[in-house]
Amino acid sequence: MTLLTFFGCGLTAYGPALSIFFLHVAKDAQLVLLMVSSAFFWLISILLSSIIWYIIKPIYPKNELTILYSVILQEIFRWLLFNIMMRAEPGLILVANNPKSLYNRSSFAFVCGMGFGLMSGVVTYFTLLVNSIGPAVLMCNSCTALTVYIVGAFTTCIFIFLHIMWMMISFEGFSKNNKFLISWVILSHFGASYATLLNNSSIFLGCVYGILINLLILGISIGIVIWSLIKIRRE
Amino acid sequence: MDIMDEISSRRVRYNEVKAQGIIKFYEDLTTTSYPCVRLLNSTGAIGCQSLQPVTGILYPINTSDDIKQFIGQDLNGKFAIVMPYDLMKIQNLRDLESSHKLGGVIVIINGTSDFAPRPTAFSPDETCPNCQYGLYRDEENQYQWNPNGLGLIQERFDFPIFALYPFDDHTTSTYNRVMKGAAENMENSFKNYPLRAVELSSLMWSAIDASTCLRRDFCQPVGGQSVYSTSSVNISNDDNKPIIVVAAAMDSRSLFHMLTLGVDNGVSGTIALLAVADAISRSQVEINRLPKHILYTLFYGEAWGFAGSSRFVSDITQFNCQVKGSAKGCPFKNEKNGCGFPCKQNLDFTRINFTNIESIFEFSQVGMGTTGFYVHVDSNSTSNVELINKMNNISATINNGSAFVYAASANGTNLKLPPSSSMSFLEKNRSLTAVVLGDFQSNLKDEYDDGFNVSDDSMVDSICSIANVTAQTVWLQAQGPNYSNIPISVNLKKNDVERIGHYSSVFQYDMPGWLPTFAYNYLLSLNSSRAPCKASTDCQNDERCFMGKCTNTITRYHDAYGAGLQYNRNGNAMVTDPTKATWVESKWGSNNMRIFLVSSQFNQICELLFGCILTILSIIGVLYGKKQLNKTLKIA
Repeated sequence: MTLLTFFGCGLTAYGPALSIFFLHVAKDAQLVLLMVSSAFFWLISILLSSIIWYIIKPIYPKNELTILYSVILQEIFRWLLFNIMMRAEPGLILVANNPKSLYNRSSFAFVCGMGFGLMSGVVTYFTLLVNSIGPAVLMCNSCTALTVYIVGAFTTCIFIFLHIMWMMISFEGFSKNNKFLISWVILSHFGASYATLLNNSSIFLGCVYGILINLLILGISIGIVIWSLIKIRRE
Repeated sequence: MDIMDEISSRRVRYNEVKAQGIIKFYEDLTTTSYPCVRLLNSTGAIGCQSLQPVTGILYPINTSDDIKQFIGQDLNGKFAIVMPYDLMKIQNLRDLESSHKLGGVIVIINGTSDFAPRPTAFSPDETCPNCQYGLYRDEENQYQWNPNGLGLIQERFDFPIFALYPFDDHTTSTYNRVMKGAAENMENSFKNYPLRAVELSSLMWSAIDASTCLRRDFCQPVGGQSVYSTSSVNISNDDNKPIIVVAAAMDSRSLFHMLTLGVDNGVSGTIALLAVADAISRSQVEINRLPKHILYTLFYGEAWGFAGSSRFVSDITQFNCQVKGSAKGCPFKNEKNGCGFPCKQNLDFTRINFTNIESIFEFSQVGMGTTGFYVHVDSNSTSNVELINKMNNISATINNGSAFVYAASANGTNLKLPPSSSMSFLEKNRSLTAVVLGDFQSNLKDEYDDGFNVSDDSMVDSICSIANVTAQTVWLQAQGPNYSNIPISVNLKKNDVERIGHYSSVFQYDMPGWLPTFAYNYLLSLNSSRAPCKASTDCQNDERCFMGKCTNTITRYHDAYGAGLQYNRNGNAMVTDPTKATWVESKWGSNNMRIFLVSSQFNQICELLFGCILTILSIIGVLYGKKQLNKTLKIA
């Protein structure tokens, strides 16, 4: 009967992101290709992180350190992805549906963010989700009423959207050389990642605080994105 | 599988997994729990099997009232009942099964004093064990030797049953783990999730019956290797010297094969026989110069339809080697004295002439004979009565005038033989002199077939006293009138006979179990105070070099598996006679037990609904959002 959990948590984690994918991205082959290539960039960053983790044995149990260097690596690869995108952009805009649109770069950033988000969602949560087919559950340390499956599903769902927003903000920041936007992305990425440590802490209702912090960061990021989109139209 | 190998290999596997830190959701308790296993014969199946792993919420039951309460209780889901051994009755298990809430059963064999203390008397076997294969199988109203038998061994359960037997750190921690989980669930009224559950899997490959299962190669014959030994190294088929057989069965049976621990049954007789052999080997007269041969036989697989003794008797009466040398399916390729088909490592057993067998002394249960021993016979024939009187007299001589060995029929009723190996001999020749020695007169002791009675000094005394009488009687019989007293010094340490799992396991060529190996080495080394050697080539004739000495006995293993089974020319076992013993053991798919937390179904349905609603809302949101964006920003 635990297929219920599998589908429930699976839909919670990936449902919103997949509905955007199928209703928006999948219709456009160019966007799909962009998404896949950005997913590949994220994958390289996490590969490097795991190599570091694997080689330096004392790091094994220290999640704080692992988060530190893997966030830095992800941001570096985001910057690399942006540079490559800039080189490809003229060509990409040429074959875009609407070459004259002001929002082609934002649209590219959006799907690149989806690539980062979906791939991170799959890598970090899917193994856990597969476990949920078995009969056992593990209760979340900080919220003993919730299972790690559902807490993980919430976190994954939020992180996919965080990645979308971060990518849009950082593309805007990089292209305009806006230090405020770039530092917001890096700092909020650290903030959101460290907030997930609350899930497994012994703080009472820690996972609720963690998810609330992530939602707050997501809210602010969405605000920034909307603000910058409006700014683009005004220019 | 052999119990020791099985346990140690599981331990290794367990430690590996633990070292990798994989155990997170599940704690594996497989190595420290004991499964009930499926066996089959020509008519059907017994024991436990579940086609799928069963997850059950731990539910403690301590009394029969608890069972009624559980059945009447309004609960959702499947439960793993944790109960003491003395509640293991067929009716209780069937009641639990019919409640449709039963997932599996965990039996506590020796719990702590406040929960499930070890029952003082408990026999899961039939009221007349193996009588359907015995000498009196065709008689109506056979005497029931084990009236308190519960018949559990012969039942078929289609749900898993596991036993917990805390005796060391590992097993005790498993026991505590399960008991704590059950107590937590009780505190949560079995309704406030998360609850502690176990997954029990008893996946056995077997199906239908022995012949089907053997044909599909999902079963192996129950049995192993019997051991026979004689000091008459020159024994031959045509020497016309009478043979005195001293016999005992080595194995016994239980619902949980790995926990077949009964010392009184099986092991006590084996030790008495070894003590007799030891005593006689110290004889001043050279034993092979005696006018009669003395043959020691320890049969294996006896608990499963007299597999060892019936196979031995049929081989010494009618064996016909059809293919000499090596043959397909026979692992003994280079034995000069072997046979390719039927596959035998050696043919020394053909030197034993069945018609020369004069008398049989068999040890049944002899561990609790502090009040005396009883001699059981098939009929009160002259020779049988003579032998009983002889033993009675000798016991009186040993014990300062008061005899302690009596005829079982002294109370006026001859109940004939209890289930015993002698029956296989009498089957061929009903007029043989055969005495079965036991510590019981009319009922097998309550621990029959599953005793956990740990050996103590009184048991050692009991075994020594009957061994003493028997050794002297055999000695007297073997040399005719020139009777001389032989001192018996049996030095048994009680730890030697403790906690020996002696389920016979499955038959494999050249793979004797723990107990046969011990008996073989013991019997082989008797009379070995002879020439020192480094290899068997240093010794004369057929002698073998054992522990630096040339041994002066013929000691061999002999195949033991059901009389109704035969190996064909391809080396595959098959059922040839469904009326005889055809017990086979299923091969195992998995036999695991693990403990973990489960969430309620309500919880799971909520999760699913939440996921579905979230997805539907986001689909609506995407469709609406695209429209809005088009309007305000003219993006896509």
